[in-house]
Amino acid sequence: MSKFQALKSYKSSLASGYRLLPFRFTQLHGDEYVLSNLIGEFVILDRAIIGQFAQGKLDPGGAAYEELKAKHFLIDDDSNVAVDLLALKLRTKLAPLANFTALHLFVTTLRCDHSCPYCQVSRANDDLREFDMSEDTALKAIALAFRSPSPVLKFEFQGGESLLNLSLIRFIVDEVERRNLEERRELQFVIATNLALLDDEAIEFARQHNVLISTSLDGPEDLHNRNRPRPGRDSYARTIKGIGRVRKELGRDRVGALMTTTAASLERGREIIDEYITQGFHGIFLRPLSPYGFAVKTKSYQSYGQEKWLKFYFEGLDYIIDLNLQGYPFTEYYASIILRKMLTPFQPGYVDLQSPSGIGVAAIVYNYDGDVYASDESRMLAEMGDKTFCIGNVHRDSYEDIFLNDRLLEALESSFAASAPMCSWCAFEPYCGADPIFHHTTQSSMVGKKPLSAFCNRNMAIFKGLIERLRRPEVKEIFERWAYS
Amino acid sequence: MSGPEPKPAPLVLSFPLSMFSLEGIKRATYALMARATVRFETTPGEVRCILIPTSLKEEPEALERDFRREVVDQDLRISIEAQTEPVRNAILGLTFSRTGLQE
Repeated sequence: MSKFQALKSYKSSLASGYRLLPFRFTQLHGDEYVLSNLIGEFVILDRAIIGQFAQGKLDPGGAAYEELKAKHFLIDDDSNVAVDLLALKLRTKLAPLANFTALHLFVTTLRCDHSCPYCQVSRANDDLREFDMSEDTALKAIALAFRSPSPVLKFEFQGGESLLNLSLIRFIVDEVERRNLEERRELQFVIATNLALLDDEAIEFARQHNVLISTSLDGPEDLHNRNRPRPGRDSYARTIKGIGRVRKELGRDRVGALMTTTAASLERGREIIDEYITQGFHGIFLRPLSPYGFAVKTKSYQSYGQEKWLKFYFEGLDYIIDLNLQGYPFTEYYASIILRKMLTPFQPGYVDLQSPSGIGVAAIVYNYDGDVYASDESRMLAEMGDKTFCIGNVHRDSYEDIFLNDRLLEALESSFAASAPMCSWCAFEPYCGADPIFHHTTQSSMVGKKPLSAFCNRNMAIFKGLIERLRRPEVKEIFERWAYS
Repeated sequence: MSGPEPKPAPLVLSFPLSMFSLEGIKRATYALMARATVRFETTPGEVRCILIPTSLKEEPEALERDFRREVVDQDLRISIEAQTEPVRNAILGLTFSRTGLQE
């Protein structure tokens, strides 16, 4: 007697047909479409095959059937466990929501020694102390931060130039660590600084409290100094010296850098990436300007269009891919965030690409004057005179007042991508986010008309560009490394 | 003396309601709003869509092809949404069970 059943018994279930699992599809180009399921697993199929598939006419023996079955787009009698698997994966993706706000940004001062024309936070002159956060304000903000149920609390100090108010940063860190003796949360501290004012005191403080340093590096010296003017025109030299000092005294991985793309950057993508490599970084975040603060007042935001930025982005991305193919590991961080959504069951905590939106839920901002904003962009908008997303004040409002504020809840609910026009049927929705502040700023609507949205157009182009590149096995290998790193 | 600025010529497309859903046509209109403004005229068995391109650079053939394709795609999406709604609800129910996220 055979140990196995006859072959026909394994085929019988296929004859009974299959059932569709929820999926969406969006044109990639021509007749090629991307199909994605609830958790973002995707398949590329010809338009005609999608029609056959939806009508229950797909050949069970074919390659398309096998791929759709393996990636949970259909169930048949052999694979009905897919419903449970999908639920488990979706649950993993959504689990971070239950932790609520982990990132707490403190604007310790608006004062700054730089006068960058693209500045999105509308800095103040560096002798105006009225733009400093007080200890009383800081204490009340800390109390709110500890109301968050998140097991991890990240305190990030921003400016202006945050080191201009180092004494307050020290006060906050001491107080947070004192409270945490009872709270027992996992703490992280980050100082966002241009490094121009880094001194022995700041270094020693960062060492004692395990503080990470986040800085700005826009590219080669002439470009960086042009983008980031300060007295002495020595921003680049000071930044590079500061990066070196942090690495030497605190450790190589204790400093990260961000760049901003200006019109002057657009033709210099390779040089910018080379600068990051020269300075010993293993990744770069190629990011466009946002429509807030001085970036709008000085018309920096309007100085280049979407197409030019996308050309810059993809030229940079392809250069980075080539570097990896030649053996130099280097990551483009925006792509890595999206690839993590595409290729893993995990959800990166990047505020701009979350739905429900990450405002308030993932990050919150305590401004120097005690006002609480739903995100960094919200306070940038407020500096332009629009306080729509100011959701309270630490001196006036309770935790419940702030986090149940109608302005916040309305923004979260109305912008939820899975129920927004066009997003709700878009195959890229699992990778994308709701950005109510961007759409409020650019279209006076928290939902936004997506066919007219620069946010939508830019991200759609990037999603398609990444999926195209994933077809090359050698690039897929690189992208999988980025996704899991 | 310059005359009035030229306007893009409207494009008239008809869709029999026995074959296409009004919902699908409306969704297609939304999806292509950057390229055309659409006016609807309905008769008992048909919807006439009058597409006015938003730019003179818009090629009528490409606009017609893409609008018709979008209507067909949207109808298919609506059909898939309806077919998969029960299992979608089952998956969401399982996802949120015992998480403490629901009241």
